[in-house]
Amino acid sequence: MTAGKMPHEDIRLLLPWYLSGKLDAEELETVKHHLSECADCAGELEELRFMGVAIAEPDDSLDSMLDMRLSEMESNIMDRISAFEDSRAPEKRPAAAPLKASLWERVQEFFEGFKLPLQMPAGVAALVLLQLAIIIGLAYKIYLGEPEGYVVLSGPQETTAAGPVIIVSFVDTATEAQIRETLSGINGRIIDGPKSGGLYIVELPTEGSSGKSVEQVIQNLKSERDVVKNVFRGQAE
Amino acid sequence: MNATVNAAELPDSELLEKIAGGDREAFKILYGRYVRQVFSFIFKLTGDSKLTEEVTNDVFFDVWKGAGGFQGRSAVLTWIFGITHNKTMNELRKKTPDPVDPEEFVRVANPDDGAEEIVEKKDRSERMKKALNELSPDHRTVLELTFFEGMSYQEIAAVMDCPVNTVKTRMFYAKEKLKEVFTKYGISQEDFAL
Repeated sequence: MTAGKMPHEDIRLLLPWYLSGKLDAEELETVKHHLSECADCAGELEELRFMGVAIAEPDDSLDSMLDMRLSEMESNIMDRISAFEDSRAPEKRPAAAPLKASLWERVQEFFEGFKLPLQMPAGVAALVLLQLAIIIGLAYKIYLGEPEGYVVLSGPQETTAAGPVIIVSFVDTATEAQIRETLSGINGRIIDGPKSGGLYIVELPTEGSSGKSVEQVIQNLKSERDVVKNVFRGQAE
Repeated sequence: MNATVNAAELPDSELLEKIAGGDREAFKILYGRYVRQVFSFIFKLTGDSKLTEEVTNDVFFDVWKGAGGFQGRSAVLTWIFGITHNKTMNELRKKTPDPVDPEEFVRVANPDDGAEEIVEKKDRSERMKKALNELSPDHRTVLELTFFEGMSYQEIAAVMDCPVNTVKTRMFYAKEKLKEVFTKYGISQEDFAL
């Protein structure tokens, strides 16, 4: 139906957006024309005007509340993004060449350096081939079962959590004993960290087994302000 | 003019592209641009400042994660409000509504009880909060998005993920309910000097 042929009830439904100036040109003309003829809708518009003013009245207390909290909120969200990106880092790294292939290539390169004379006796050639087989076999055994890609020799190892995970940072003045006691209180276990922003990944017992939900644990930790600086739920990857 | 100044002037869609590429400065600009609107919307529906902070940052965390999937079918702010609306509704479903204190209601509604005090802004603001709290989240949402955020009914339909006619009928019933609660809490045009 075009706006020009709109019935009274449909036009009445558009009045809130006529008031807020959000109708398209055709609807606007239709409503304007209708208002000049319909006292009911004109009265309705006045009521709406009052409601609109009441609802749109700025709340100064809300602004001042946000002013006080904004800096910490921004810091929290940036920490959370850092933790999220750190946890995704292995996925984002460019794929390393598979270790088995590169080892094989290195072995090949090594032996390519030896130009075997055509007149070498068959026994010597067989011995060289046997050594080659032993080296390849050992290499295969060593690396069999290791994950594809590179192996991290330093820094935190990849960890997998059986239970839910939270991300925690501690206040600078918190002692090791305080942190240990806090973690013990929630049956939590640090499985990774510190990451950027001093964030630690903490694994919790499986929900239900501890009698506390993750949200309850987070609330408990938030109340320990002398130890815990920030805490939020980890992302299930 | 440095890069930060340039980025601060970028339209939302370009900021979102940068965010999708992992640009944290672009994220900070978008956060600064809309955190007040998101915070205000959530607080008005939940009335809980701590929860509002958490949900606000949950919304922006989703913006960070979802920036690459933004299709541009709506304005960026409409998309952000869609996330905000979903998260707020989820929180409201978990939350037990605060009961209205009947004694407080009688005190506010009694015209003999200090008429001068009733016209004070703080008192009026309290009555407004109580009145609006009696509206359903859906009704409250269409009113806020229309009159506070200045969205069209098409944009509100995108935020609430519903047909445009549903937005119009929700507004109709919201308005009827608002009339009723304004009467209940003694809120009139005189309160707003119209």
